[in-house]
Amino acid sequence: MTDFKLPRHAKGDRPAFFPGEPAADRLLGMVMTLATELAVVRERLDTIERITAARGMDLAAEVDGYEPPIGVREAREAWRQAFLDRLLKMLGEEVAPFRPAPESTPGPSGLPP
Amino acid sequence: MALNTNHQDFHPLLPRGTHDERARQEFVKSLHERASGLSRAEAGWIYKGRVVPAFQARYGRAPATREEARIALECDPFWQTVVGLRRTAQELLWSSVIDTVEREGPALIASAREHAGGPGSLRLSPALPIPDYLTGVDFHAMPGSYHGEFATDDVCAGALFERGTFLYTHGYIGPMSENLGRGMVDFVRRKHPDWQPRRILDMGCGIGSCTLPWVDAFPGAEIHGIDVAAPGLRYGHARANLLGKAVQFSQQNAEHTDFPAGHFDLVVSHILLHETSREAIANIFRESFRLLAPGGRMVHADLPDIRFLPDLFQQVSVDQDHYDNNEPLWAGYYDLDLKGLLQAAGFPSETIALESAGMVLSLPPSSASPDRSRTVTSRFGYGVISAQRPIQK
Repeated sequence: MTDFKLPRHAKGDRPAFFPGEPAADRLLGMVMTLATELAVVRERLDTIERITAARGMDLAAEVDGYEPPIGVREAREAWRQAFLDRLLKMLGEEVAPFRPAPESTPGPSGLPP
Repeated sequence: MALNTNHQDFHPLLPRGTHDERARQEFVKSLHERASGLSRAEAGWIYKGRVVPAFQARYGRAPATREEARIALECDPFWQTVVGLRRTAQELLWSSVIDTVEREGPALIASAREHAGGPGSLRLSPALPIPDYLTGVDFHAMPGSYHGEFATDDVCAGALFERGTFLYTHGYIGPMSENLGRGMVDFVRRKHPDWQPRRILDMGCGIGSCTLPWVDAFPGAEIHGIDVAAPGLRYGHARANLLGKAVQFSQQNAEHTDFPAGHFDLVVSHILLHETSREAIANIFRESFRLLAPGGRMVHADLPDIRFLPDLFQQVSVDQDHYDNNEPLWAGYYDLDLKGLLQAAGFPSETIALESAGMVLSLPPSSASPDRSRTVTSRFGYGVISAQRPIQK
């Protein structure tokens, strides 16, 4: 945990690259973020496979049979939430000025999930 | 906010998947939950802060109806993005499960055959016509719908439904998809604490996941489940057997069944009505009346009446499945004269109640409390229609 947060939004209006089509700008951001994450995971897996193969291990069967315990499920869901935060960053920034407070709950609908 | 670590109980009929398929399904569940939060809740801030002011600037007043609010929202790029995202997540969800079901299908069919014997029974009627409201569109964008059959003794649609709806409800439906049935059992018990129905019919039972809580609640009762779709019935029959629960399944249309008049003390359904048609709902009410013994009751759980919600955005957000999730009757459902239809079916006015019931939701387990059986009941949930056949005559 750090005790400070660095800014993640560059001051200044974001240029619109697709005039009249703001959704296209958003989609470009999402797709490219996704591609970045995919490349990171792909490379990590490649590294793991190369290291284990060099030590004479075939992980495939163990991976397919793996049952995550609750602690692992929590860690994975936390990662997915952080990933979705990054993936959908622009949407979070867009709604922020209209929210009374960043951590305000319940939401405007008060509906269950 | 608590992490959603809800996960399903695997049993021999549930598609298991490879590591990567399971990982894809877990991710899509999180993505779908996020997209639902953005479109059904977060977009409310956009509506209040940006959509209403824009509407006011143009027309000199705020949107006055659900329809006006929805049309105003549809012009907003945030709304366009988040409802598009939810639809995309819904499509990814089904395809992530179809990958598994397609590959494991032959093994699932074999497993269902192995569990064909057991405490329950199954009566199929291959000649039964599939109603137009099911053949016209695949409800909630589930490819192949309930009745699609692609192999001999096919159970794939049942397997796809069980895994897919677990992800679709973000696991709040319970490890065995039992929570909606449990909620309706609770509802009936609260209203009639000492009542012991002897024969219960679940209409449109699908894979019977909502039927089984009635077996547990009334162990002395004979429990029947009917549905028009054979794959779910085969799957549900084998599933009930392997769980050791006695349900008599038969392939029938709830509009006109072959049970004798007065055969049941209780007729129930769980979110069946809005996936039929206006005409079918009237027929189902008439058939419910015919099937009930004197003093018998019907309880149908379906969409809540959103018209009482004070905030137009809330109404639009509940309504949105009509527009982005292949639900042709959803938006019109609230405007049906349900009470009038029930009276026309024969139910006396004073026995008819239109109430709301909270949803029973599974609490995600955590390292600190790994118990997966904990639930909470939501404030807002289903609309429950109940009525009683008079004891006299």
